[in-house]
Amino acid sequence: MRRWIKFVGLAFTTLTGLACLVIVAMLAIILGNIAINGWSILSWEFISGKPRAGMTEGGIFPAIFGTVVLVLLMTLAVIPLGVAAAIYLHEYARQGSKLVHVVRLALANLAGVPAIVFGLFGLGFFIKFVGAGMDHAFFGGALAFGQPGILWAALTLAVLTLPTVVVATEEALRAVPLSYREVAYAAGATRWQVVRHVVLPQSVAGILTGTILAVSRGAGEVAPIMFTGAAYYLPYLPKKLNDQFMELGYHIYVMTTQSPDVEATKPILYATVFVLLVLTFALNFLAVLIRSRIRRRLRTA
Amino acid sequence: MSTSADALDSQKTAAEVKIRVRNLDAYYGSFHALKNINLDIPSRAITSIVGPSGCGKSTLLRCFNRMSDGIRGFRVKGEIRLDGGDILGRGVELTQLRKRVGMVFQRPNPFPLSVFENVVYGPRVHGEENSRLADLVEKSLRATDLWDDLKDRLGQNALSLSAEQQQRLCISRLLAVEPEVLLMDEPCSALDPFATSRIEVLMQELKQDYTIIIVTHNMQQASRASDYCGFMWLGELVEFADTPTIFTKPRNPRTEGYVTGRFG
Repeated sequence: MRRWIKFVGLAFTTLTGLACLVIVAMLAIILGNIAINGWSILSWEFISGKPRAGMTEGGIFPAIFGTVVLVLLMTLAVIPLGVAAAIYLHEYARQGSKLVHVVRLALANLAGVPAIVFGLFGLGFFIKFVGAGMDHAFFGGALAFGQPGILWAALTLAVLTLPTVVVATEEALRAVPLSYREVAYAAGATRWQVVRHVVLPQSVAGILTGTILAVSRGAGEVAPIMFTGAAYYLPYLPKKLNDQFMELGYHIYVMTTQSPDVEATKPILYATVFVLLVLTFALNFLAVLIRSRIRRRLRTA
Repeated sequence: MSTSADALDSQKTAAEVKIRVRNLDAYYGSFHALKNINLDIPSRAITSIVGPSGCGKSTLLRCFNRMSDGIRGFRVKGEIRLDGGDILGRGVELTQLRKRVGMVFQRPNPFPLSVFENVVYGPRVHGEENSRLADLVEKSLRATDLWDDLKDRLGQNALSLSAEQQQRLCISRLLAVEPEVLLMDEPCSALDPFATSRIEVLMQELKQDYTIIIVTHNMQQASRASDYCGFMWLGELVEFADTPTIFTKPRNPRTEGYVTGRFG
């Protein structure tokens, strides 16, 4: 009997350990494969050049540029909205009220909507409704904003990332001890003063980290931008908010499925995936860096 | 045996009354937390409120600066007057009330900021001019006997201080907004006996200028450190008198049982 119990214990330890090993192994295989095959293609020409010869040669600069601008626009849109909503939910709204319940339910459902549906939503709402409405009102019916463009793609991505930003911000707000708020109220602070001088300074590191992680997650999404602004191939960079753009994720999708010469595209594909991963990891690393910096500053303040 | 409002009104009290409580009832939802409280809190003295856990003493304390307003389902009925002015009405500015009636909490809870920033928090909230802040910090730290220890370390993070220093700092932070009444909710329960007795000495100094109301579990602390004492039991104020009377000649057998340690 004793031996049996010992055996079960050992078996369980082995199984759970193996599960962890599988995870690490999978990540290692993915990264290793991409790094080995992608690294040799990487060059300054690849990063700074344009695609040539039906994307079987040349570089990916337009896609890198488009991705960076897209992510910046999305961040500008989602952070104020998401942080404001989280502050309202956590600091202002009466907990347990109907409104809070409805908003939380909406957020949970929004987070569960498939990315492709956001793409269609962006097409239907931003382009066909808002954009076409703007054209009608400001451009005398001429086509300006009623077509796919980087602004609409960024806003569509912002809607997709919104729930994550709200949840991450709320998490950061929750980490501020209640006693700080209590002291501030007891000193006669108004609600806004408590938020501005106690809650936000204490939670800014968490908010930034959470939102950057949310943004880096959204940055790799392809489905929401397929119908709303990403282009197959463009000889120029986007200059206006309603210009179309190239984007790394979409570029990868296009090269994988639409290439005239699969074998010729393969090395470029590897290198492009490598660049996309590096950009995403750079964002994650930035998040960790900001967090540790602000934490240190708070500790030694 | 709790005192009726009429009896209190007709009574000739020697001490000036700072806070007058009449027919006060409080509820958390359907739970009746305070039952017809009538009480006169004397000015510039230390009033302690004792009683077993859950008797309503903290609830009563939190009525004086309306800290329970935000709690869902919390209601009060009755009257509380500070220097004759109603503080329970809808029109009362909570920020102004809390400037006059400050609070020290059970656990020392300085902000994770410098000593200086902790003390000036309240004055800044109330729009104090920057030129006055340095003076206020010195005055407030002197009042709690922290100045000599900390004057060269004002930039140090308050969380690195000892528990006693942190609690003194919290009192300084409160004094910096120049309140009239100090509410203390078990201010020594997180401190060792030596620190506790030093805080009690500090309270004796502070009562020259402030009206102090302290809620405590600690019978010895109430008998040593307060001038007046109220005993609460299941939401009622059973007895209120000067502290020696409560501890040596209580009129109510429940008070006697509690202060002599027969239950509690």
